[in-house]
Amino acid sequence: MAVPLLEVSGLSIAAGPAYAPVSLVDDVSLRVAVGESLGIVGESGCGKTVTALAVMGLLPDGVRAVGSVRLDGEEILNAGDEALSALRGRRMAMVFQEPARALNPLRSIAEQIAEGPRIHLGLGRRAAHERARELLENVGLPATRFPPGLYPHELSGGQRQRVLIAIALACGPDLLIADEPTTALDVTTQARILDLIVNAAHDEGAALVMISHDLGVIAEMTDRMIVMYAGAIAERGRTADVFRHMAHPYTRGLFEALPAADALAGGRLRTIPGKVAAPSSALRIGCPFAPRCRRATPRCRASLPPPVAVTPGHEAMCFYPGPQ
Amino acid sequence: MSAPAPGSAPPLLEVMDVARDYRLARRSMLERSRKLRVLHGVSLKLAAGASLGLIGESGAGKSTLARLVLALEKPDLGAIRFDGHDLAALSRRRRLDVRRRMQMVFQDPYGSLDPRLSVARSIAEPLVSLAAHLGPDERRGSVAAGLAAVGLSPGDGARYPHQFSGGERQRIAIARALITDPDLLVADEPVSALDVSVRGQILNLLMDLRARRPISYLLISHDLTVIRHVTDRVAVIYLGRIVEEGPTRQVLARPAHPYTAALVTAVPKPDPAFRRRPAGIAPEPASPYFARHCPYAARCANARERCRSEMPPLAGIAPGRGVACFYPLG
Repeated sequence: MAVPLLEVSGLSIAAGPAYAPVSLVDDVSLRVAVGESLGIVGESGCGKTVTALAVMGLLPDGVRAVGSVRLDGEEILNAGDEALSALRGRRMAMVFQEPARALNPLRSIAEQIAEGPRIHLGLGRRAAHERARELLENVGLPATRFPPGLYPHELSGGQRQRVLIAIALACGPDLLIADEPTTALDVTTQARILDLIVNAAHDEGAALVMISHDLGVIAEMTDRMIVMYAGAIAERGRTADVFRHMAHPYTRGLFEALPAADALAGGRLRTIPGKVAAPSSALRIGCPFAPRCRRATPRCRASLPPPVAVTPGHEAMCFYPGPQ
Repeated sequence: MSAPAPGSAPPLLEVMDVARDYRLARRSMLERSRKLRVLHGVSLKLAAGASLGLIGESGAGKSTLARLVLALEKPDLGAIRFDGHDLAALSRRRRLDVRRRMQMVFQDPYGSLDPRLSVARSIAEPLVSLAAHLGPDERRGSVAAGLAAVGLSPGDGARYPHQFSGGERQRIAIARALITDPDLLVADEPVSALDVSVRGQILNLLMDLRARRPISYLLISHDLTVIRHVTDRVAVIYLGRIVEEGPTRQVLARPAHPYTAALVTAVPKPDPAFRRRPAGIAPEPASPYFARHCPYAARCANARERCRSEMPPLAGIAPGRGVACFYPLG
């Protein structure tokens, strides 16, 4: 197998003081090849966003990562600011969840899109603005209705999210990470943004990492997927395989918690008992999902389950994987 | 106030041809102040014990309608009746009674509870103004019963909101809304801020409460799966107008308005074999205005000449179903 574009191995992330670290991500490994799309599913606090931030070198102060993150074979975890700045925007880019906060309110949208091409591609002022115009057109904000001199506050949430996508695509990155890019948006806007991301990644030949809590979005957008729970990977495999044979009780629970289109209205929804595990500094023994799991036995509470192959390339970290 | 005809109970809630205007900030001192009409001739009925869903994009007017129903704002045109009483013309006593009988659950379980109040005090708060005759013991009894009804333990009353997860806070908010024994619960996106695995718990709770006692729901959500699960009837609202209404399952299974169809087909399904039709990069809706023609015509793939020159009325197409479209889908 060729060197993957992105290879994360043994990534663990912790916050808090060194004598009582709070584990946010525990031994996560993943790889994404050129032209491929990987989905990361999970609920709040499962570590999906912080994993992406570690890849981008954007972890907040006081949050430490160990392990390895390689982009095209080159180690970038904890690389210096200078090295990372040269990569961010040009080789890898991220679309954040809240478009309102990710944009600079004091600069016009065209200036913000043109910044990357000016710095990374060495384009002159005029050429960079021409590129910004073209990108705005591509994300459905034609200059006739959306003059490049507009400021973020003059746009709706969906329009701002498109500006963020244009910024992310401005230098033709090899890796595009989208973190819940449509969570705050209406369904019709969401559909347009998802189409836009898929087409853009495809046209530019970029690899895509799609982070979402929405199994519908993951099913539609990704080739392979990872399910995360409490900072660890619970299940991984080709998206089609995982949906066909959900093996981890958590994956199955997430799926069953969705009201099905053909379910009887007013019928009871299956739920996962308890609540989402919060990150803690307590030493973890056993499967993190065991306290909420219907299948759990004393064994699950005593030791961490190893990956078990379900079908080739599809594995679940569970002692009792399977449909029931 | 006319008494209802004997034999035909009035609906619990009746929204009659309501319009609502907001005044826009002037861009200069010389400019005349401008108004934006956010609801245009909206009419709805909600029977006692029934549940009605409102769907539409942000900015469509869903939350404005909720605020009008709760008498937090007054309509500029039209009227809203609750149990036969016009909300705009209530006596002081009647207003307290109506407030007690309608309650609300908000989207954000983090922002809707006062962090400085214990859970028991938050839950009891509506009683202070709306049921002032209750003594402390009765009040405590109501709070304990409320906690139990939403699946929390009596000891939780002494704790504070930050000690609870999002799902638990939403349970607290529901307990607070139910403390006055309301006939109508207005819920604005009650589960959209919650994790998937706890959404089901809250939706099941809403269903259970309805099974236990007669209560009507007006549920606002952009999540069609939630609307499908909880409501009997649904109204689809687009730029301040109801464009389709009817039994929820019929409307979502066989939408008659092209806008409803667009909403239904835009939802990604948790099935990798399913291929959603590409949405295309249609422009976002222009801001509402006094349209003389179908407001959806600019985005509609089926729009013809007539749609761009005339306003389609909300017309019946089947018993209990209406659509505002000249060319409804078959």
